[in-house]
Amino acid sequence: MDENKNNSVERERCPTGIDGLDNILNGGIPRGNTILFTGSCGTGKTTLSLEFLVHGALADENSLFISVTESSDKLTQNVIPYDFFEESLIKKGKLVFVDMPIIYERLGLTNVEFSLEDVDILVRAIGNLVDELSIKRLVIDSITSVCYRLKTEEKIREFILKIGKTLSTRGCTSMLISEISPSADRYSLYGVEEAIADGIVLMGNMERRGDLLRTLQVVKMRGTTHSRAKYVLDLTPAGVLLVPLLKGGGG
Amino acid sequence: MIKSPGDLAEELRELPPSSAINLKISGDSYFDAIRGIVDIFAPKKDLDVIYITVAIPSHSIIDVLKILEIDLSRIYFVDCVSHTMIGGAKKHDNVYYVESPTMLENIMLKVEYLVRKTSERNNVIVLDAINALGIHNNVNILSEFLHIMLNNLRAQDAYSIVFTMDDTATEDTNNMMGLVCDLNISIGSDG
Amino acid sequence: MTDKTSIGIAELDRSLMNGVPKGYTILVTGAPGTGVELFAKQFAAAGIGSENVTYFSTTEGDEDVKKAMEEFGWEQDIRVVNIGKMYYEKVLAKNLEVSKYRQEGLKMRDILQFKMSQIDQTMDINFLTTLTYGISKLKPPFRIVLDSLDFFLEYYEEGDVLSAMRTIKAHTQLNEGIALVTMLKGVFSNRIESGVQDIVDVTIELERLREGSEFKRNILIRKVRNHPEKTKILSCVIDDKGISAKSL
Repeated sequence: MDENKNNSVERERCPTGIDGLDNILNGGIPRGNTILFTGSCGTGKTTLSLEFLVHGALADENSLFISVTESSDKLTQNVIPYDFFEESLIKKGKLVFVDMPIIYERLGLTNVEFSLEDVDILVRAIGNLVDELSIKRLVIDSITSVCYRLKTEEKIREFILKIGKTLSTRGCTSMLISEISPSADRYSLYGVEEAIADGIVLMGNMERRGDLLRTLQVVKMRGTTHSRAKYVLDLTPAGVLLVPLLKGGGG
Repeated sequence: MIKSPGDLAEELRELPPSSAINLKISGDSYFDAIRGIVDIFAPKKDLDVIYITVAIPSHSIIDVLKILEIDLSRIYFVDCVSHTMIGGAKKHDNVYYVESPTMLENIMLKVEYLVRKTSERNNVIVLDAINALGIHNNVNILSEFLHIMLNNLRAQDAYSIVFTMDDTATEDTNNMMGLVCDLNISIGSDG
Repeated sequence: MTDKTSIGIAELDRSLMNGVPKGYTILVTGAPGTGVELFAKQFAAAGIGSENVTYFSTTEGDEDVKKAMEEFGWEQDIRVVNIGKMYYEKVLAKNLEVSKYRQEGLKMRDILQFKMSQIDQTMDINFLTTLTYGISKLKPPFRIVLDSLDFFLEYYEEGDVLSAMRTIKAHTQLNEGIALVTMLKGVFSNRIESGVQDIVDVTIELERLREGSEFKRNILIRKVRNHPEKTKILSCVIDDKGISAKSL
């Protein structure tokens, strides 16, 4: 029901700053949406999400990257070769990196398996940070690593729902990065995440006559019409570039 | 039929930006065509050149341009052949490689990147040549590729010049070029 | 070199085997107020000079242990390992911090104060392992006091505690050291109490009974390995010289 309401009124957009993606989405991600960015490793999820944050920071929207698997020091050193990146964004606190293990540590979330109460504590802490730093864009890389510690569908559902609600009420547009194996027939490891997220962007590798192409496809996006076609992307110092996948069926 | 590089440059200068030209090359006028575009037309119009090479490796063209003493600093290559040759791809500042001429999307992506990279000036994009791309791709996907790329370039006020080697062009190719390009120009020593 | 060593209370030594054989592990139990902690210190003092005495304390600070010994006029030349303090620093202080973050919310500065490299260092420390490792490093002749086992029984699985007890006993026996372990009486399950009693060689219980307007104290020798005939009850006096015993 809510979905229809959202569709009837044009929602404010959060332009990703990635021209190709904004074109696909008719201007950007509807503000406050929580998007599942999903794909196997090496498909460019982290790079794309970082660019989303850098553009946000450049547009004066405070942006937060929560790194679960890789240390954020490494990320800042290795993954920002963009021409448009400015070191000062980090110094000024426009672009903030936080390591999830530190959040776990500080909150005493040391159990291998989180309880429902732990989920609440974690979501509240992320909400606190978003409030304190006036965060408008958030990336969690990856949500799959968090889900490993949630284990049950019930808790994963609870986590995604709560984090989505916490972020959307704060007007924070978020990308949750999800790792799947290339052969998976669904968009998330547990199948739960995809049903709850406001949007799904699928990134993958496609083989065509022996060539391997990196692809991107917006599978679902609440609050906007969008192309569902596959696009081919390239990770360049000018950012992520997208062109439509050629079909070659034409004639 | 144009006969000299200078005449070709003059003819091109008459055209507005966003033009897509099918340049039919016959006989031994291949290097005249390159000179006319790269050495005369582009500098006069203050354009950066993005040169997509499918027919011969970029280093061969670079060697020729060096012999002709043509300034290379504002010429960028998208090289689609060298990777298919053993030991062909050498690292060069202004050369961007596409693994195979079948990866048409990647050609578009490299061109798009170079257009952005050289955003202070307008561009002329040379595709050398459609016949060579036709060896690796069927006419359907090739039309789709040209249609999308040329439209994108038009939207960015770039000149696009697609080479057709007149003596090996098929009827299909000619029909397709007629559809996607704004005009045909022929350059040759005979006729 | 004698094969016996003093427990620190003359009459009790006599009632056992004119001291306790080296290699023995002794359990002292009793309700609060019966003098178990004092017993432990008197036992520690009895080893000074002839043995390396290590006192593992779980509740009292280093200074508290030595000060108490001083008050009774005993030497204090022992090593105190303060497990309670280590525990506080590593675990309780952290729990306190965690509850603060959970209650008041996590702030960016709380995150910035912390470096990823610190995470491994704060991994849960197993104090039971710390204890057994510490004991395994002791060189004979040694005397171990563990005051008290309660701490470990509270925080660790009973199976793990019993297994640590067996390790301590084996190490003591092999190296002909002597060990004394204290445990509160009536707090833990029978299973644990009898488990511990089964491991140790001697069990001594301190008892305090009310008789009219006075306390009457007893030392109960509850178990002596292979010498059931030696189990008996001694009358006990505690004064400014410590604990002494008399045959009834």
